[in-house]
Amino acid sequence: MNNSSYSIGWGESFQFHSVYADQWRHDQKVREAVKANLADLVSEEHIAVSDGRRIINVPLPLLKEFRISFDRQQAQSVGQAVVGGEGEGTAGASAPAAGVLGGAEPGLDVEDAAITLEEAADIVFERLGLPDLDPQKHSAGNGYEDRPESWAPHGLKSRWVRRPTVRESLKRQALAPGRQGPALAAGDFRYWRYDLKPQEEGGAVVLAMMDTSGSMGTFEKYLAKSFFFWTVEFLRRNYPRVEIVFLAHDVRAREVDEESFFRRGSSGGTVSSSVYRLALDILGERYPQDRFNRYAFHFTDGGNLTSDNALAVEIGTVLAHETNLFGYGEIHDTDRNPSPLYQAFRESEGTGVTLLRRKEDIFRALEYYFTAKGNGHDHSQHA
Amino acid sequence: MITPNTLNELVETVWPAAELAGLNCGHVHFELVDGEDIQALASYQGLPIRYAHWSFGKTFGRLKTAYDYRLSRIYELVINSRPAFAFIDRRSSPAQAMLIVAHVLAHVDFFSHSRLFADTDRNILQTTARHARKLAEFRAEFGAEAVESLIDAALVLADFPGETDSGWGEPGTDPGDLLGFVARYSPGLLPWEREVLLMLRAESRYFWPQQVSKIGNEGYATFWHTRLMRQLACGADKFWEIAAVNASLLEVRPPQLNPYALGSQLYQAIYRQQGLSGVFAARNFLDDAGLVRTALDQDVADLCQLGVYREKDVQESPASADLAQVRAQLIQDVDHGGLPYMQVMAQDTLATGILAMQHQYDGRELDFYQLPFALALVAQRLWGGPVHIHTTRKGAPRVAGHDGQQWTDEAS
Repeated sequence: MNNSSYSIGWGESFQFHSVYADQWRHDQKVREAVKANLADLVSEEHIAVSDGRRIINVPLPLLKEFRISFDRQQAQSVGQAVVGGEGEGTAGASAPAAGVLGGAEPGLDVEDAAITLEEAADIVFERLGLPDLDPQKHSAGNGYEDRPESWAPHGLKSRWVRRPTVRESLKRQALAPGRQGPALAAGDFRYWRYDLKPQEEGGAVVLAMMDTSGSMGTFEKYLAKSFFFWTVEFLRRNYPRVEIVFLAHDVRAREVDEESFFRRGSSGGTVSSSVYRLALDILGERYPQDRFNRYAFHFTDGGNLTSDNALAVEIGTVLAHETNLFGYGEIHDTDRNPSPLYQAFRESEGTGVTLLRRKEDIFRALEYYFTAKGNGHDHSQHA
Repeated sequence: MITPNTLNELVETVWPAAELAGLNCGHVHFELVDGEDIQALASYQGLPIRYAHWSFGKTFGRLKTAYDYRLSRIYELVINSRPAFAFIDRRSSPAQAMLIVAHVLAHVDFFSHSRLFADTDRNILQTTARHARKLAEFRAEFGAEAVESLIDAALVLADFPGETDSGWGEPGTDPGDLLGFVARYSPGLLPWEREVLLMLRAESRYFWPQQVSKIGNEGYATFWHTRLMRQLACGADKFWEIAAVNASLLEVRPPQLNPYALGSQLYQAIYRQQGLSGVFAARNFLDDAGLVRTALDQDVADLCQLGVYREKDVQESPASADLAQVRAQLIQDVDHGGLPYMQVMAQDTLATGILAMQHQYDGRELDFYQLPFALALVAQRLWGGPVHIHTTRKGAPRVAGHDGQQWTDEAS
């Protein structure tokens, strides 16, 4: 046959940008799926409990492509072994598909996608921010900002800075006296260079107060710790320079470090006023109101000592006045009525109260407290 | 790293040897592309321009991860069109590229002679490019959401485009043509939606012969590149590289079946018994099931260490290695592209308005875990009404269905 021929191309017309659009759409669908499962994600126990593990599995109901096909679970098929005898099994080849549920009822699809904690946090925190943040408080600030800091020999024309340019020109002419040059040579021009610098305004402090009395059961502790875990994660991420003060209390209140805050056991009774008083002391000593945005969160099971209630409400109200937001969260695993403290704080100005009964409420509480814009979202009127 | 010049030299070396051996390729167009581009091509199933859909992005992500971690590498992709297109990773070494060229030529020879590919679209590149353009227009006109959900649902039925070796039948006339039937008779679809279904059906029909000849195609190409390299390879270092690529192609990851390894052994067996004429006859007439039926004997089964594995078993050892059983199971595995035989019950459907499909039960049950979701998509987006599948489960006939809201599963 003589009709054979060939040609060769460089492949320059085969660069596939459209596949990135498809990949973007896929990633977007993953994010949608994660978002739809936010409440589950936030209450995922092993995230809050084990900090060594940075990968979590998120159920993704959207992304499986369903087909009419044979049931692989029951099926048998022809396979190969390693040529030349007993083979070392390669892991993964025969791993059973994850999460297939049996029974006549169609199961929920759970094609788990492993995403890192960072990715999950991005999605969880997408909508969150510190409420009523006053950017004009002069303190360490809560992050970094681009500021014109130095001069570069190249740059945008709009960033041309005159004085250093003239200085460069003078320097050049002083170095070579007698030589006739232009008043401004190309090398003289200087432009502002923007550097990432720590902000100097809008600093904030968050007081995390947790009840560690004996009445805090496993469930209550888990909810409180989860809330604070995500709060801390959120602050570290979005407001890296926000200071966080950890306070634990039973009858007495103590300032503790982060490690022991999340690992505390529980014992003793509950006197909430003690922790409020400590909070006020710390705020007064270290975080003056004119320099800091101040936030305080207190999570308890509501089992405050009855004789302390009046005092707690009084000091709590002062604390609410002193801070941008005082969040009071009460955790019940049963349907008993909220405590007098809860009732009182609900009435008072500047206090956000939440009642947590289920795991999913952690995310609700997060969303409720950390809604960045004030926009008519009155924390004191939430039941 | 190879340049067009190097490739030119290689083709000049390999081509005459291939032609002398009896391969006949017509015009082949080689394209040297980057590693990442070949991943993108592979996620588009080899066709450079496809309609936009997230499933391609999903595949791309998976392939790219595998490539980035060096778990897999795609050396070449061949498109069954006229002229045939061959994409080659330009980061291959010259010796690797030599083997790849031989492999490519054998693929092209297979495409141009196998009866399975006699009716495939010669201008598939232009066809899919036109589809991509059309779908982009539809997206602009009717919204991305409408088009995406339509494609999501249509892909459920795209596995069933009907028998293709009976020629280019009218859509919906062949009972196996679920997608064509729905495109033609669905009560609620708009004209543009029917058009989209027919486009997907055309692409599906293009891919169908490749799906039923995976082992044959790869086996044939492997058989030939082995033969040609034995003739051509010169020098120890070159030979070493070629052997390394060959070994990576033939590597078995138990208990998965490697179509390159099994296919080349099957063709070797045919060659041993009937010589080259037998090989060419097998290329011309056999799909995978036929190839296994013709050529699988005790020698091949022993060489490839074939065995019947149960999916549920955790241990690596096969449940059975008896030849007759392996043979029967393998034929069932590869027959009909590994997909269930589904037929639309046209008369019932047109009489009742319920899309009724018959699953030809052959001892393997349908996946009742995916089925509700798959049928829901079809019922909601394509048929706009109840959809039933008549099948057999645990020995008893059953009707599984979805009416868009509710999943039903009853004995019949």
